[in-house]
Amino acid sequence: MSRSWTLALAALILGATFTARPASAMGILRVQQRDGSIQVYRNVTIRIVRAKAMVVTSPDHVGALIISNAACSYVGDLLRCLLDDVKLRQHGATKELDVDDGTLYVNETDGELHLPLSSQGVKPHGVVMAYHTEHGTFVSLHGTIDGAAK
Amino acid sequence: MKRAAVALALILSVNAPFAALAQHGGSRPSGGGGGRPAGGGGGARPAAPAAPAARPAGGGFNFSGDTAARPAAPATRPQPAAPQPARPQPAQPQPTRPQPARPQPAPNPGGRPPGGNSGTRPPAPGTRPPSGRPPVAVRPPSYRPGPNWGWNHGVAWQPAPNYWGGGFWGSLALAAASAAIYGSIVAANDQTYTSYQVQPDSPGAILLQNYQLQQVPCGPPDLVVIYGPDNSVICTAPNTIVAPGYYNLDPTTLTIVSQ
Repeated sequence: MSRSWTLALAALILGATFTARPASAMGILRVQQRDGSIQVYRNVTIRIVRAKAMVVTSPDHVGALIISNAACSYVGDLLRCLLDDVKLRQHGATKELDVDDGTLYVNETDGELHLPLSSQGVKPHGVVMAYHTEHGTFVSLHGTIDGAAK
Repeated sequence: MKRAAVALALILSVNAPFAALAQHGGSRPSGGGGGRPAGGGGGARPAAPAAPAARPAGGGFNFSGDTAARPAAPATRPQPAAPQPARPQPAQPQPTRPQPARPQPAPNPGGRPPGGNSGTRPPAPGTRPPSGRPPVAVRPPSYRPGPNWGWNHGVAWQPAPNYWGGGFWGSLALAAASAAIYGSIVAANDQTYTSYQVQPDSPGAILLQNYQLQQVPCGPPDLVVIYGPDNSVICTAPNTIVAPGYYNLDPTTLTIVSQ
């Protein structure tokens, strides 16, 4: 009797663990180098840290793009941030990526929103970002926020 | 009973991952191949028409072009120089033209004596003239100040040093050749502060809208001169809400305060 209920409880906990996990790490980061070569990173994780920075982590958890110090305002319900400070942290080092221009849109609502003057939609809690570095690298990201950390 | 409980639990545990995958697939962009496990290929997949790209050794992102020739960045980014206050000016309206005494066309909430602005920046707020009154915040009629950053839905606005006025007035970088120059202000130390056009949808544009102000080129007298972040300055025509004079802005409440 006790063994069977232990099994049942363990299975229930296991099931609850899976069901409690949100649909996460579905972001797609696309990096186009100046020479035209392209890398597409699927299943990147997008997290907001201390309500100040957005961190995009590679699927292998080795690299992280840290986006901070942006000038943000609202376009309707859509948060729009003009990017300035993007760092790459990986292999124990943090390096600055010189952003030439770029914009980050965050949909903080529970409904889909559209980019201004565009047919492109941003899903609930979704993120759309594109920026261009001074070196000539073009980076785009879309996905949903996977979580926030204090 | 025992068997039923075990069976129910096993069903729940087996179905749960599929439910999660179904959510993934539902939110996946088209063409992605839903449900593909993460991490297997290191995340890098060259697109078909492009040349295969080298993955960085040890995984992570490939930003070799942006990081190869550069030393490691310091912990904090060095602040750029002040936004070129001494930038050479194209033909400007005489910023130091003597001012005729005019009656105030509008209420003067700032308590500043009439006479308008001559294009010469007044002393800093900390060194207010002896005859000046304490700074007074001018409340816009269309915006009720709430908690700090209420105008930005409670999200603190973060200045970006490379943008015009830290991004408060818009995204135009000061080096942008396309930036529309809106006159200039000559400070007491003979430094010239260039004014640029406020960009739509910027926080500064919201401020102007709240006060029903219209930006005009700096230089002529009797203007509303608003000093913003990062040594930025804009000028507007006065109206019944804001009298001519010099103002600082408080980005936390999106209000202007007379100097």
